[in-house]
Amino acid sequence: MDTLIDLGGGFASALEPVSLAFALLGVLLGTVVGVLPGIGPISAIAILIPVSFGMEPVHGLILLCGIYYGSMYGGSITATLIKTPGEVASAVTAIEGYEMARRGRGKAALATAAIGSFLAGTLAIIGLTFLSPVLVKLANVFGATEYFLLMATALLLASTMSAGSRAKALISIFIGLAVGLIGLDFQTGLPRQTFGMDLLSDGIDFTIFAMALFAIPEAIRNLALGRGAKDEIQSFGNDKWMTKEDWQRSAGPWARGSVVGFIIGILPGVGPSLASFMSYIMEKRISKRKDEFGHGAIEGVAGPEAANNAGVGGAMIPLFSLGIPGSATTALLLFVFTMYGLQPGPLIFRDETGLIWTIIASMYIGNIALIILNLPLVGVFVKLLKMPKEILFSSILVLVVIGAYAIEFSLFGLMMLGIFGVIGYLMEKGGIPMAPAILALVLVPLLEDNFRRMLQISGGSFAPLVTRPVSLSIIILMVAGIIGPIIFRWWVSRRKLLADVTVS
Amino acid sequence: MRSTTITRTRTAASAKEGSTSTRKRAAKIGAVLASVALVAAACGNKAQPPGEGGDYPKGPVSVTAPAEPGSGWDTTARALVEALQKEDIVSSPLPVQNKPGGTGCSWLTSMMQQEKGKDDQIAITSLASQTMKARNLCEFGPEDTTLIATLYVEDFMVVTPKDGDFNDLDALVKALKDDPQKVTVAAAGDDTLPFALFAKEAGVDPADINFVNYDGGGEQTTAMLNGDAKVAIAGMSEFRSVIEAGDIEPLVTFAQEPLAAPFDTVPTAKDSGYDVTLGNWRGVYGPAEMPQEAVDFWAKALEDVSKSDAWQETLKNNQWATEFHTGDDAQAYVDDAAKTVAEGVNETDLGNSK
Amino acid sequence: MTAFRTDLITGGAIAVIGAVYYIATFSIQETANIVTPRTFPAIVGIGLIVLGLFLAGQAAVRHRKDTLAEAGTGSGGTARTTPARDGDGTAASAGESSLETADRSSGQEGVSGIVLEAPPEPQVRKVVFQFALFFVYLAILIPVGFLLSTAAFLMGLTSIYAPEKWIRNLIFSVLFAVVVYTAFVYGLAVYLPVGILG
Repeated sequence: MDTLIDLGGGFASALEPVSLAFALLGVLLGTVVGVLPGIGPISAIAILIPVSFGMEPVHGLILLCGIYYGSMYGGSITATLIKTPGEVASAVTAIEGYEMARRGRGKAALATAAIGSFLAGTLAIIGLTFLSPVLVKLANVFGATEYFLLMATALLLASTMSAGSRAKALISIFIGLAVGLIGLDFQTGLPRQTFGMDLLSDGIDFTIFAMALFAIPEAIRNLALGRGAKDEIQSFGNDKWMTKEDWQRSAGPWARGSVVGFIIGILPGVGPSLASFMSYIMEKRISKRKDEFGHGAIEGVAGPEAANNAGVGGAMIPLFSLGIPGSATTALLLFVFTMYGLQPGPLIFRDETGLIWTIIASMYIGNIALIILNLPLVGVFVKLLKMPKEILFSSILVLVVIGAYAIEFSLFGLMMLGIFGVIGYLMEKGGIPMAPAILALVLVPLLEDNFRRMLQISGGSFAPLVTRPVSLSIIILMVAGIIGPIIFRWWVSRRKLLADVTVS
Repeated sequence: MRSTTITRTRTAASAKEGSTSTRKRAAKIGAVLASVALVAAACGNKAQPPGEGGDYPKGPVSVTAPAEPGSGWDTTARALVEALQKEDIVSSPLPVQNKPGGTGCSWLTSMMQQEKGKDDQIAITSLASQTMKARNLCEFGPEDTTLIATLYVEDFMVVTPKDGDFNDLDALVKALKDDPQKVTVAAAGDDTLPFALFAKEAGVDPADINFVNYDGGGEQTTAMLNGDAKVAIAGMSEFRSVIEAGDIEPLVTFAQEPLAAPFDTVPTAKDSGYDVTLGNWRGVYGPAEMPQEAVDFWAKALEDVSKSDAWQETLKNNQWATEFHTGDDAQAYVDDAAKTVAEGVNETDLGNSK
Repeated sequence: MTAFRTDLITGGAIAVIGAVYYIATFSIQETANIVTPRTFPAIVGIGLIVLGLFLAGQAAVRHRKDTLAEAGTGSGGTARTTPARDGDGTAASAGESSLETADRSSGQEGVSGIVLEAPPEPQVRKVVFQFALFFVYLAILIPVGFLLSTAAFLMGLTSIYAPEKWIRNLIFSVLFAVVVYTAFVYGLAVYLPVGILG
């Protein structure tokens, strides 16, 4: 009950006209900035942090929350329309979203992303509001062993993400792992796989890698095709709004994505990035239309977008309750809080009651502002695709270059972009999917750190994998998840065989 | 105007200390902020060539934190700039830039080479950079640069979960002697040194200590709460909020003097009979061969700021202890610390095993 | 290029990359930890070698089967027609985008109308040329500056594509460069290289 009263108080201050104006302004700024390739939520907040200084903490935080939501959605827009993800979560959206846009379904893709983000974001904040104290305990049963298993499971599942050869998906994962290990070893600070180049010691930036793999091959291929091949590509632009079928197909993924995203988001260090990948994998696994995945399945946009936003809400739980940032973006939020003199942690709910509930209330409002502002704009964004092809794709190349420059500010960063662009093109030629590599790049530090911690703690023994209840459960689920479908398929094919025999 | 982004940054005095060393994941954010800052700074440089004559500084002077935002170096840089400007000690713009890389080594190397002789750059450094050098992971240490001043020292603290296996230091030492493998110590890479020295004092081979690597106080706290780690060591500000909340208890600190309240009851290692005093000092350095005029200017400015109310307030809020030296004093202090670190690294086999 | 050859080349290339990667792990300083900094990179290197060889081997085996089968049916099938074991999937076709590759688990039934015909593959020569232009742009961006190099790059690309619309191309190239530059530098304080104009 106290929660409700506090939340009411929060709403009272967040609903003041000035606060509302800041929420809307934040969403608008965030969307505009997030649309620029290479500028995901992290950079958007970083770039716009100075704007919020000199404001009242409440207003500044409301503004930043709006920027955060806006830029996340902005990233989905570029991922969908020009296959240029600005951050991990929208890398997943780029898979199905772009395929939808190619088929003239860009509007539906953006709409399902916006609505899914809104619903999941709202659900997650409700979860944050009422379940925080219970859920924070979840973080305490997840030790290094469980994290390692979770990461390993995620990577195994990632090999089922893409259509086609399993071996090629595994190669993709290993490419991601290989690239992710470049740089200084987290544990010892020793350089690894830098081939003697100091410049490589900071590793390969995720955004550069993702932009290079997704956007560059697509742009180069389209430009190299020349005019003769102009028409076969897409019905870009002839767009329809979400149909009744789209709504029906999106509802389930929204709901499942919200739950998956929220739970994964709570785990510190994992955050929303894994959530969106997991949601995609799950939607693909349970879908009756598996064949549509990779060709613009709306479930593959609705689920991950919901999971991503729910994951953000989930990540706020360890942030607020323990002062532990669950993702890069929450780490940045933590930084912002501390700059306002707030110390997130167990005491924040007691010491800063008014402020914290205003922030939570402003998240609700930011979410609403997002959907009010962006749904009408969907049509405008989609119109951008009607530009002549050479102009569209050459602009994308320039924007991607700016994105890479804004990350590294060096010739080296630009060259990495070019080199990985070539690698991405060759991967595409060889039929190696991109998305598993991107997930692997994100997960490899977590996988390796926790593997090393697990063995360091156990003194080199693998026993904790089966002696700890939670890890044992994960293993059982994993085995069931792999063996189960095989048995199921065998059973189905046997029945079919029997049926065939009966018919004949 | 161009450096607005950064100079307007306000850091609350109670800013949480992050881990000192550069971590890949956090560095991503760092890189972003850094890049914004960097360019702002770079443009500043271009617009304002190094000043000549008596009116130094003519243009903006970049204050570099060679780590990601929120880290120890970063909070120091931001708090310092905040105080310098609040007290009107320096009127030129002071853009804070983040240059993560190699636990500060990348920027330190740049300051020794590319930035050599310039006067529009200062940077934050600390004990961690000395560890890097002692382990042969970095060619240079802070003692090789133009050291301008040491500012303060942050003491290390060993903590354990409340109602955990150890009620006091003796219990910890006993457990370490019984089976060091079982006592998992959560530590960020550079923070293992004081614990290793402590183990040696307690008669346990530092090579046997089971260090498990975690990235900063947040991860360390979770590791202790989920049972993966029995104790943790880090700069004390990492644990301040969780200690206040009661989940985590301090066991010992390696401070020279007993700490200020509310941690005045925490025993120091020295008082408990283990002669280990090592604190994570923070200081400011300039490019190699920085013009004397600039060195003098900054020594004076930092001295002024260290006496200011704003800075004293910052120190108090963060449980940082003043350790202000300039000129030869500072050099001596840092050389001394370098020696301790070098010995520690050798004796505890840190260079090879960890 | 047939799927067989693509897979053979891809597999071989991956194995070589894996070998190089594995060899590079020898220069990682060893430590006394249980899992050393070298462990994971070494596993990844070996994994790449194994997977690359597997892919190439798989392609070779399928090719032989197909050749045998072809001798019987006379159809011009490639490795793609080989039935695969559960979920193993088909070898991706010549890489003309994943569109051609149906997910094996249900792909057999044929894919409904949503699948676009695969986009045609551009000529290698043109792709190389596009990449070359892109790298030139990357190389001159910092020394020459954003405005000039971007305008030139855009002008080049659009003119190759539609030379007769050069006026439109010129206007677009200059305008785009200026607008983007203004937005980033003055709107976001992200300073793009000034180059020779500075």
